[in-house]
Amino acid sequence: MNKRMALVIDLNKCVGCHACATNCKAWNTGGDYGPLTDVEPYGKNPDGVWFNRVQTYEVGKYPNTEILYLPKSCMHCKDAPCVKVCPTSATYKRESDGIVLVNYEECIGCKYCSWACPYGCREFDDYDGVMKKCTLCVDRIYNENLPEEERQPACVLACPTRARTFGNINDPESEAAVKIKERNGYKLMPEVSTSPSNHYLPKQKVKIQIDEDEILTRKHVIVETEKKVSSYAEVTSDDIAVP
Amino acid sequence: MHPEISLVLLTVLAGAGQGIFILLVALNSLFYGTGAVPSEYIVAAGAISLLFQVGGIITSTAHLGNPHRGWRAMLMIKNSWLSREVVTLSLSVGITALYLLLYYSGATGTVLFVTGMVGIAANLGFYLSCSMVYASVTFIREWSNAFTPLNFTLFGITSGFGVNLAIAHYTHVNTDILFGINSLTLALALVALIMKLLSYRFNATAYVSVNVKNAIGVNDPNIKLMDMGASYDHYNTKEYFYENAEKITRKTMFLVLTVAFLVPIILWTVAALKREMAYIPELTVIAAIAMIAGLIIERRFFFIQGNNVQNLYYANFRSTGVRNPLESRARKGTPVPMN
Ligand code: SF4
Ligand code: SF4
Ligand code: SF4
Repeated sequence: MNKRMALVIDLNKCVGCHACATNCKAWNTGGDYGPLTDVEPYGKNPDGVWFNRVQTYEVGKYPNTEILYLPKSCMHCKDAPCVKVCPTSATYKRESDGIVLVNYEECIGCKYCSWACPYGCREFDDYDGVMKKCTLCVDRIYNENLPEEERQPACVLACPTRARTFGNINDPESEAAVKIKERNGYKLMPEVSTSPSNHYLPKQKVKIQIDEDEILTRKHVIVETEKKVSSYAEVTSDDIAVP
Repeated sequence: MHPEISLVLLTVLAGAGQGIFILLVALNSLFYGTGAVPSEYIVAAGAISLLFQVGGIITSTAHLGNPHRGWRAMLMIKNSWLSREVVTLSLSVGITALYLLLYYSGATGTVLFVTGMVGIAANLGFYLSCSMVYASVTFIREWSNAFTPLNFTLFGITSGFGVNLAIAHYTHVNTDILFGINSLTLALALVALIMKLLSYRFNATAYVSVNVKNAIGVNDPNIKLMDMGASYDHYNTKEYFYENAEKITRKTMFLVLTVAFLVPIILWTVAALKREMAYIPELTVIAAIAMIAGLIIERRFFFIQGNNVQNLYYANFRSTGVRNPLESRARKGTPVPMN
């Protein structure tokens, strides 16, 4: 079976630090698929090409709200609508590993592919007049000039909480595939027929049991004996350092 | 969606240009050799048709990031409607020019007829592929429906016939034929008006089966965007948003219906009722100009109304005061179903 390379992003671990996005920009602007042109980077309205953007959402109603960070880059869809609409075949999907790429030499900059992508994952470079997007760091993952442990996407290497896993999800033994299976990894917009390769691992509510004496000894607090201390505390993932 | 003026002009002008050619071929085939359709008309209509089509092509290149390799757009005719649009438009231009050349060099009626029919096939192919470029974007519901191909074709043909009528007045076409074109154009314009009203109605209630919950994968009705992941507007917020979309909706709809349809319909009705009025050529010129101008506004508004589902990720994006229509529709109680 052909490989299907993908990113698996653990939303439970992501802390929204944007390290993946900035390292992606740093590597790719000088990589084979650069530059990621900036317009007015120090001006009032900075704009520029980014292959990866981290969006922040608030979920729930105050006071029971939770913050969700959603890093989003090209999903390398199995049934990629951007590939089908391209009039020049500049956008193509590689048979061997499922990576969707843009050939800048052939792209005429008609932007049609970006209209067809429901995830908003294509970025037009006004300066070069071509469409750009995440390459799944195709110039890193097979790059023999890099030490083997660094043949990983730049975003994966940068993530301080190791929320990002890269791998072949067609191989059930791969770390990425195992995580999807064990943690109920999901796709964005599952009802549309794109079949994205990238998966997200959902946020989890973590419940732990804390005994009364544990609170007493650990926190060294004096608790009036007649006052009942709840023996269960509900703690969300935000309260716990995830190993 | 951001209304790209070059694409607006391409679709309207090329559409009208091909409508002119269709009627020209029809008239010349029907009345060949009778003298009812003078050569001045053929040459003038053919030239104006070419002008419209080539004008459309030239303005459309302004949309491309790399126009110098625009020819590459013809390569994927098997898959891409955009490719088919470019091919059929190039064919149409070529055949219009060839038709004029053949006419000028005194080709026989049969040769002209066959060339004309091939040209009309290319024209119809263009209407279909040009509209399918938009109708096939399933993630923009306002575009992805049957009204898009029907209206692009109907509006192109009607405006082309309207321009033809004006040209025919100035080039001494037989008055009975003039009356015929006038009646035909009027009938088409009435149908076009009804179709436009129906498509506005459809768009007012159109919804997509995706919502912000399944877009980000959280099953909670309260999802608010806190940070869009950029300091300022970028490609994804510029290309898919039009700042004043909601504000201009009603006004623009009224303007489109009046300028593109009502004004020409009234003028052509006057001409049809009182046949002598048809001899006031200025009236038909005003009608044709109104229709083309109105269709430019209509096409621009068509872009603005298009709402790509990727906007769900920027649903609460407020920096320019934009509200996502999908969101407001959901609030009004129009179904935005999960799954
Ligand atoms: S996420 Fe968008 S750009 Fe990437 S493969 Fe899918 S449709 Fe194409
Ligand atoms: S912008 Fe480039 S990659 Fe995208 S559809 Fe047009 S030619 Fe293809
Ligand atoms: S895989 Fe590479 S190109 Fe894609 S988001 Fe990560 S760093 Fe950027």
